[in-house]
Amino acid sequence: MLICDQLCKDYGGFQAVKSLTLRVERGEIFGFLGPNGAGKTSTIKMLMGLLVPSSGHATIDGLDTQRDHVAVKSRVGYLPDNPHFLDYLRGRELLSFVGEMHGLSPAEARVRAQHWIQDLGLEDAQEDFANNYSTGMKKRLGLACALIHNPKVLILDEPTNGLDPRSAVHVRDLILNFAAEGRTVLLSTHLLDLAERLCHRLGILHHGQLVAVGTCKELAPDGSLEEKFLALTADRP
Amino acid sequence: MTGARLFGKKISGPDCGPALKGARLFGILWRLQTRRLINRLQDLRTRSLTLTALGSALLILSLMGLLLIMDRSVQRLLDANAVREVIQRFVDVTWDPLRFTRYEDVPDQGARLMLLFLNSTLLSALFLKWGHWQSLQRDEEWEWFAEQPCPAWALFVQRCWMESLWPQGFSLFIGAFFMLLGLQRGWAPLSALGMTLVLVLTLQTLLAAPRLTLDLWLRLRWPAHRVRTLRGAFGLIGAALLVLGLQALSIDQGWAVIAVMRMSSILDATPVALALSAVMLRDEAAALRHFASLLGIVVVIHLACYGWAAWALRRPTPGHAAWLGRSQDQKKQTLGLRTWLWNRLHPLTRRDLTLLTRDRHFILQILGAPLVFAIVPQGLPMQDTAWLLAMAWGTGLLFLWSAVFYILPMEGRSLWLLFTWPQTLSQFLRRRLMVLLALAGCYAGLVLGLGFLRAGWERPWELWRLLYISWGMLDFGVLFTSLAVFTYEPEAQGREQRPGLWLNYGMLILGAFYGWFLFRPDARESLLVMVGLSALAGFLWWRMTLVLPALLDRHAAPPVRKLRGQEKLHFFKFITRWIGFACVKCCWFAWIIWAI
Repeated sequence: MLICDQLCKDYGGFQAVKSLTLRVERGEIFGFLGPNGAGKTSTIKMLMGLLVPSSGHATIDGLDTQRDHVAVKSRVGYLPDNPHFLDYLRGRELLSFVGEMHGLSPAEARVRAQHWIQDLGLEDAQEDFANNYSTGMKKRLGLACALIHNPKVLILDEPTNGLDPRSAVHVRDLILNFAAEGRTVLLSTHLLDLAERLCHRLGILHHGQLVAVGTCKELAPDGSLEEKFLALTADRP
Repeated sequence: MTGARLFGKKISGPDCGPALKGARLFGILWRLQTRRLINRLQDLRTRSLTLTALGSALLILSLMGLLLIMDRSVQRLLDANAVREVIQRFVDVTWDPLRFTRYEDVPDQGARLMLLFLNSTLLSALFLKWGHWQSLQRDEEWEWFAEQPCPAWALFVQRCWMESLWPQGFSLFIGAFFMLLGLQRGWAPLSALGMTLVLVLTLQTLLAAPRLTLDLWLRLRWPAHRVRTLRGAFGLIGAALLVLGLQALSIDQGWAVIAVMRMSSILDATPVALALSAVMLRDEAAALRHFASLLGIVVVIHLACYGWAAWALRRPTPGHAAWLGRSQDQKKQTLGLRTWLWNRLHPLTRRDLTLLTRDRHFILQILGAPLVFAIVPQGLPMQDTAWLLAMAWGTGLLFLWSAVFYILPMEGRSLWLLFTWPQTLSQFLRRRLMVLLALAGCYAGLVLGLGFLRAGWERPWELWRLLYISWGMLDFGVLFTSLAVFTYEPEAQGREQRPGLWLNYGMLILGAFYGWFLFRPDARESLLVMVGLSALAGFLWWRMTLVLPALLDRHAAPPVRKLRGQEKLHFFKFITRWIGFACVKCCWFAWIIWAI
């Protein structure tokens, strides 16, 4: 469903992602773990076309993310780590607009926008300018933007960052339900417990390389995931 | 006494706690307003004063240039005496009506112009202040009022007085005008200052109560976001009225004055006319009588507003939720056609139009400035179709120049959203460019329409050159868009994202050259320029589509930088060839003249 094949990204002389090869199946929740600067966000941005891969390629639903990027984007919902919105659009308007940009009719977009506003607890703020939202509200609005067109694949960069505990639990349930419908989720997170509870498989990135892939049990059969993570991402001289 | 409810909160009644003392409350409000001013000053200080000074100097130079063009003496641009003479004449014309000794002696036209200007300023203050960004905070103030254990109508009265006494921008404007007028009328400086202060405060007081009453009335009936939208629209009306007022000072004839003269009796009866006459009349008794009338109007209006506020805030008012239900019903009945038409537009176009109407910076600086250019130059020989077309081209180009370079920065930090939609960036740019081109066409059409209304067209067959203008706008729109993309810095903030000065003003000069070709008698020359420009625009657009996928990827930049260098090279090649062509043409003319 989502395949990365020898994906590389160079920032000048620095190689952020090194020959990343990965396969995420339909109905699977795959979690990227890794310390800061490991290359998680760069990989996600390459999948979304925000960055151009230095070499290698990625496909989503059999479509090349660079060559067929228009078709890919109708199948993908994306939530960045730190979503920013236009200064002069209200939350409700923005959501309807995003829906329409994905080909929904205005009426359908409005209905779906209302649904997600209620589902994600943004009713009270729906008439405020989206750019004035708090971090958590922006995150929830960004998630609504990613979900409004009912995508097949969800790519989430730190989905629970800035959310209060109740909202974080709600978002976690939402992702589980999404995957239960046979759709794919790729997410990056720093929260090991979230990854443990949510993801079917995990990939640990370190210095741009995928150092471990597998289920939680496969990765840490004896000890905790935290210990395994620290061991894998320790910088040796 | 029944307690009224404002936004679902009890705001008055026997259960209210001990009332705040009036003076203390007034002090709190005053400090609040002072804090706002200090915050604004701090905000201003963070901006570059040098840039502001340079901008002001540029504006003055532009106005001087405009005066020279209006005087049809562009060739004498370098002649200092000619410049001085033109400016002196302009100043004389502007201040001429003020030299008369009696208000009644002022020729109708001049008096009407002054009245129109002052009335426009007063009205614009009414709308502008209400639509000002500070008004956005007023919702919180109303909420704060509602939480106070005082009767709400008394708070309303105090807020009115606060607004009346707090210095407003327009007070300075009108005050300076009255002060100068008083001095020219032979008043002692202190007397002129005292009279000015009294009159300006009176006018300000006159505005405060209606403004607050309107705000309260709407806030009691509409949800906050709708009131905010309306405030934005009213801000626009205020800006337009201000432009009208400025125009009144800068013109001495034209359709606007004729229209105004037809309603002279109405203008004479306005509060501003009373204030003006109080300054202009030497007969002290008459001046005092007018001033007393003005004060009478103020008192009546304030009492009426207080009475209404007391009535409105003491009766049970429908809550927010109840209102919302009613408004949705009304919306269903009245907005069907508008919604249908609105929904026919592409979502991007709809969003762009929404953003354009909400971004007041964009409205005033990008939408407003060309409007001034379209309306103000009344001294040009508008009956000459070539002049008219040149003005139409210039106005449209000015709009395009200022708007299209914003085509990406307008997205701000939400540019990532464009990468999540199933559309290419070039499709997005094309659609936004179409909106901006349509608006530029409207400006050009406005100039042509105004010119026709004023003087008709001498040689209507020359309007075929409209095709030339439309073609040029399309070319320049494409050119500006491409250059905006090439020079876009995704990590820069605000204005840094726009192209540099050399490119910005270079393109404006190129546009002016294109306008110059409108006057050329030889259609072949125009055709050559059109084809050359289209080729350049097409080439840049094509290269831009190659660059777009890596717009946010600075590290995919080496080919882009190389490309940018190539674009500059092609651009300079184009300019060089053009200059070469002009040189050859000049030599050819010189040869013909020599041969003759």
